[in-house]
Amino acid sequence: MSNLFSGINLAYQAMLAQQQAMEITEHNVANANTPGFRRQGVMLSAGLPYGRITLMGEGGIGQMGSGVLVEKIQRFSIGFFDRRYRLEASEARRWSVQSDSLKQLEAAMGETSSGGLLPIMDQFYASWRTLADAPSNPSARALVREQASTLVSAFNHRSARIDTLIADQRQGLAQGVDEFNDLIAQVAHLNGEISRVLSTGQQPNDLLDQRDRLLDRLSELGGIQSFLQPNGEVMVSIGGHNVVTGRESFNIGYLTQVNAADPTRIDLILTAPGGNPFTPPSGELAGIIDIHNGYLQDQKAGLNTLAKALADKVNEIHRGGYSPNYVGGADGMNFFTINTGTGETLTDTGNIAFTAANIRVSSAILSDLNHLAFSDAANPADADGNIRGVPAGNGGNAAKIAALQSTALAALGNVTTGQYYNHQATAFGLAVKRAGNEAEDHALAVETLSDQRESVSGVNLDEEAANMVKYQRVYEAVSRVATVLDEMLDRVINGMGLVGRS
Amino acid sequence: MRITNQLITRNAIRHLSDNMNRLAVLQEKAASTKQFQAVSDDPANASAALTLRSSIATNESYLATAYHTDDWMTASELAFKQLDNAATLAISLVTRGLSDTMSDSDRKSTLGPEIDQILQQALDFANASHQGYYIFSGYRIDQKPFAVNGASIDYAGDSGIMNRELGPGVTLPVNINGSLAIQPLLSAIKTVRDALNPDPPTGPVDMTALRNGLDLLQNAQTVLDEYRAVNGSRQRQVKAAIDHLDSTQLELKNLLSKHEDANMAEAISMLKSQETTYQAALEVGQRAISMLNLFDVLR
Repeated sequence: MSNLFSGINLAYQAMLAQQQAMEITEHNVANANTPGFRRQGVMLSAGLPYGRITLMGEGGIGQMGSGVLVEKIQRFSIGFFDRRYRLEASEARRWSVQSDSLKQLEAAMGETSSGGLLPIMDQFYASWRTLADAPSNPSARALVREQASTLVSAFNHRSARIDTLIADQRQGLAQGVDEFNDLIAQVAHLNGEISRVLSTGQQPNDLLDQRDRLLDRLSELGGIQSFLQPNGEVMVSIGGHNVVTGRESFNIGYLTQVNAADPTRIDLILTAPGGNPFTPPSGELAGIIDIHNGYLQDQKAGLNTLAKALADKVNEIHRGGYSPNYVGGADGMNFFTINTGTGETLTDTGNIAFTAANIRVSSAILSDLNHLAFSDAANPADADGNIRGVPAGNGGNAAKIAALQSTALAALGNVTTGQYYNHQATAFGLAVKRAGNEAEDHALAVETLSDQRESVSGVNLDEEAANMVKYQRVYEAVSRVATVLDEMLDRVINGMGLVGRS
Repeated sequence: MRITNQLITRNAIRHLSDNMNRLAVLQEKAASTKQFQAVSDDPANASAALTLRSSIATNESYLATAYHTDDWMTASELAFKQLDNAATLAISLVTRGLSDTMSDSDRKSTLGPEIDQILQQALDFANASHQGYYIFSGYRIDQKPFAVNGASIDYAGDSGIMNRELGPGVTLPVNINGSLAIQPLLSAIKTVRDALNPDPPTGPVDMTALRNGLDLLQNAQTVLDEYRAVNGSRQRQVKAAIDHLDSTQLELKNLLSKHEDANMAEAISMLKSQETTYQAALEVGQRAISMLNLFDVLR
C-alpha cells in the first residue's frame, strides 16, 4: 500500500541495500591481495511489485515497485577456467619436481668436470699401459693401485648419491601422501559446511574460496578431478578412485614393492582407498614416482652393468696372468673384489654380482703390489724344478688390460666402456633437458591460465572505487528522499487539523 | 581481458624474474668461458666433448709410451753402433794377425792385449742398460745378459719380446733378442781372443782357429747389421707414430675447443645487452607496481 510510512520503509530498505553493497565492496578491497580470493559482487534487484490497494480492492493504474533488494551476493568464478588451470598446474608440478631432482643428480655426478667417470676410467687404463711399459718400476705399480682405487671410489660414490636421492624421493612421497590425505579431509569437512549453508539459501562464498584453494593444491599434488554435485558438495577422485564423497574422505597410501620384471629394482606404488595399487595421472606424486621408479634406478642399473662388465673382464685377464709372487700351480688372483659389508669376497660367487656400490680393489693387492699380475708368462723352472715369479720386463698381461679401453665388451652390448658410459651420461643429460623444457613450457601455460582466472575473479581497485562512489551517492540520495518524506510526515502529523488552534 | 591489480604486479614480477634467469645463464657462460656447465645444457656438444677429452687423454698415454719406446730404441741403436765398430776393429785386427809378415810373438804381444780389450768393450756394449734395465736380456731386464764362462759366452736373458702399444690395436716390438743378434759376435771375438792369447802364454797361436774366427766375425757382423737395420726401421715407425700422435693431439684440442669453449666476445656482449634489458624491465616494473588507482585520486 502506498503511504508515507511505506515510503520511509522503502527508503530504509534502499539504504540498507546500498550499505550492504558498500560492505561487499570493502570486503573486495580488503582482500585485493589475498591469494585465491574470488571477488564478490552484490546482485541488486527491484523488489516485488504490488498492485495499488484501494478501498474497493486492487485496481488502478498499475503495479507499484517496492524498492531495491539485495538478491544475492554473487561470486565471480568460472568453473571451466578452474578445471583447465588445475590440469596444467598438475602437469607443471609433475615436470618441475622431476627437473629439480634430475638437475640435482646431474650436478652431483659432475660428468663434464675432471672428476667425471670417463676421465677416471681413461686414467685407469693409462696406468696399466704405463705398467706394461715398465713393470718393474715401483712407481708404475703404485700408480695402478692409485688409479684403481680412484675408479672404485668413483663408482661407489655415484651409487651412493643415487641411493640418497632415491631415499629422498621416498620421503618426499610420504610427505606428499600425508599432505594429500590432510587436504582431502579438509575438503570433506568444507563440503559439509558449504552444503549446510546452501541449504539455508545463503551463499558461502568465502568457504567456496577456501575449498577452491584446497582443490588447486590437490591438483598440484596428484592431478585430481573434481565434480560439483547439485547440493554444492564436491566429489574428488584421483586416477578414477574416489577420495572425497560428500562429507567423507578416503585416504590413499603408498608402499614399496620389488619390480616383477627386474628383481634388483624396487618400485614405489600408490595405493587407493581399499588397497589397490594405482598410478597417479599427474602432479607432484606422479613426478616423484617417475623419478624413483624410472630415471634414478635406470642410472643405477647402468652404473652397475658397467661396473660388473669392467670388473669381470679385468678379473678374467688378471687371473690369467702372473705376478712376482707367483708360485707354480697357484690360482690366479682377482684384481677387483666385492665388498660384502662385513668383509670381502675374493671371487664372484655368482650370487652377489659386482655392482657400483660393492666394487673394490682386492685388499691383497692393495697391501702387496707384488700380487699385480702384469706378466703373461711365469719364469721357467729353476734348478730345483720350482717355478717362481715372473721375468722383470714382461708386461704382457698389463698391456692386455690396457687394451680393454678400445675393446667392445659383449656384456655392454658390444661397445667399449667409454662409449657405454658416454651414452649413459648423454641420455641422462637429455632426460634432464627434457624435464627442464617441459617444466618451463607447462609453467608458461599455467601462468596464462592463472591470468585468465585472475581476470575473472580478481579485484580491480579502480572498479571497486567506482562502485563505492556509486553506492555512496545512491545512499545519500535515498537518505535525502527519506528526509523529504519525513518533512511530509511532519506536515501531516504536526500541521494538519490545526485550524482554529494556535 | 579484464585487468586487475594483481595481474599487473604478477606480470611485472614474472618478467623481472625471467630477465634475471637469462642474466644468470649468461653470467655463468662468460665467467666459466664454457658453452655448457652440465651435459643437459647442450647434450650434443657435451657428448662430443666427452669423447674428445677421452681421445686426447688416451693419445697422451700413447705418446708417453711412444717416447719411452723411442728412447729404448735409441739406446739399442747406440749399442749396435758401438758393437759394429768393435766388430770392424776386430776384423781388421785378425786380418793383420793372419798376414804372414807377423811373427807369433808379435801376434801374442801386440794383437793379444788389443783383442782382449775389444772383447771387454764389446761385453760392456752388449750389457748396455737403459734407465737401469738391460736392453738385450729379453724379459729378464734385471739380469745382465752376457758373461764370459770359460771358453764361451753365456747368455742369462731369455727370448722374450716386449711389445708396446702405440695406438688402439697397434703394437710394435721394442727389444732385440740379444742371444740371436749379439751372442754370435761376442762368441766370435772370444774365439779370436782365445786364439791370440793361448794358454799357456808361451804356446803358439792357433792359426786355424784364427782363420775360423775371421769367418765367424764376418758372419756375426752381418747378423748384427741385419738386426741393427730391424731396430732402425722400427724406430722410424715409432717416430712416425709420434708425429702422427702429436698432430692428432693438436687437431683434437682444436675440435674440443670448438665444442666446449664459449665465444667470449659474443658471450660478453650478450651479457651486457641482457644487463641493459634487465635495467629496462626494472624501470617498467617499478612504474607498473607503484601505479596509482582510483582511490588515490577520488576527492
